Amino acid sequence: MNWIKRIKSEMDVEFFACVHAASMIFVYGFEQCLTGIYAVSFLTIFQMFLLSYGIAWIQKLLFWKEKQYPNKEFILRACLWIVLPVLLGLLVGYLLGWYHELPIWLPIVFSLIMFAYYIMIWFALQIFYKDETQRLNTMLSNFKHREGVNHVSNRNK
Amino acid sequence: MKLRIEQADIEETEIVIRCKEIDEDIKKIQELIECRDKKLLVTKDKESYFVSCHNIYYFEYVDHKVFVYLKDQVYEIGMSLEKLEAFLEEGFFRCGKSMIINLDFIDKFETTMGNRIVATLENDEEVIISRYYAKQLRTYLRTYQTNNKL
Repeated sequence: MNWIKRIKSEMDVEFFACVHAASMIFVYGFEQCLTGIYAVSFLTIFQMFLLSYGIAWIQKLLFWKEKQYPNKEFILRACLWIVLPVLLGLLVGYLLGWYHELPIWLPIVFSLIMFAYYIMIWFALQIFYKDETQRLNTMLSNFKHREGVNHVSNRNK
Repeated sequence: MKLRIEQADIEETEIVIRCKEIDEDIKKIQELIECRDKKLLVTKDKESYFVSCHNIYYFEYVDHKVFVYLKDQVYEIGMSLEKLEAFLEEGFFRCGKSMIINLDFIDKFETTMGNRIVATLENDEEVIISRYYAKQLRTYLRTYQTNNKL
């Protein structure tokens, strides 16, 4: 079962890596267009994919432990989930020369858009989990009130 | 079907089902009554007790021992989780490698990051259900809902 778990984690990470990479490439390409450059090198695209893969693993590892995180720790991890990828994008971009000979505003706008993107992804996930929680609780309630079972709750006894 | 409950001055409650033939409904009633009376032999401080299944919150395997958790008591049981799984009736769910939980005592579920589920029991204890078992739990509840057309 352990290898199934690993494969599922890998699939999860690769899915998010693809979503992140697609967004990164789109934003970067769009900004390049604005500066009059209409081509992005394959090397840059490949580097963005690799970076996105790394980011997806970092995000996965931030919530890896099977435990209920205390409120403060959860907020801190959520902030890191959003901020770390943006900082990494900026740092790796500079190291690999993505912004070489390009206007200074380009990496700033790129980071701001990516920041907004990670926030959106985070909230989309929270909405999904909230919806899932509601669905589960409805199913649980139906199950607990199943025919013939007179379950007596011990709550508040 | 007529239902009559008589109160009498007797030592032990007795249930008599008078029917023309033993059909599915009667079998279900029989199963239900037997299930409610299913008891497990457990130990605590070298003393043995019988506990009713419907009072058990969850079973947990810790340090090669299986413990039975009630609302505020813990007992030990000499059965493996696999055997318990086969013995227990509807309502008990294997929610982890080392745990069987009674769904009837779950107050609420909460889905968290990584698609895991946090189950809060009626005694306010929290149990984390991993992604693998969370999927099975969803299937279990959904199948139940579909089969019973809820």
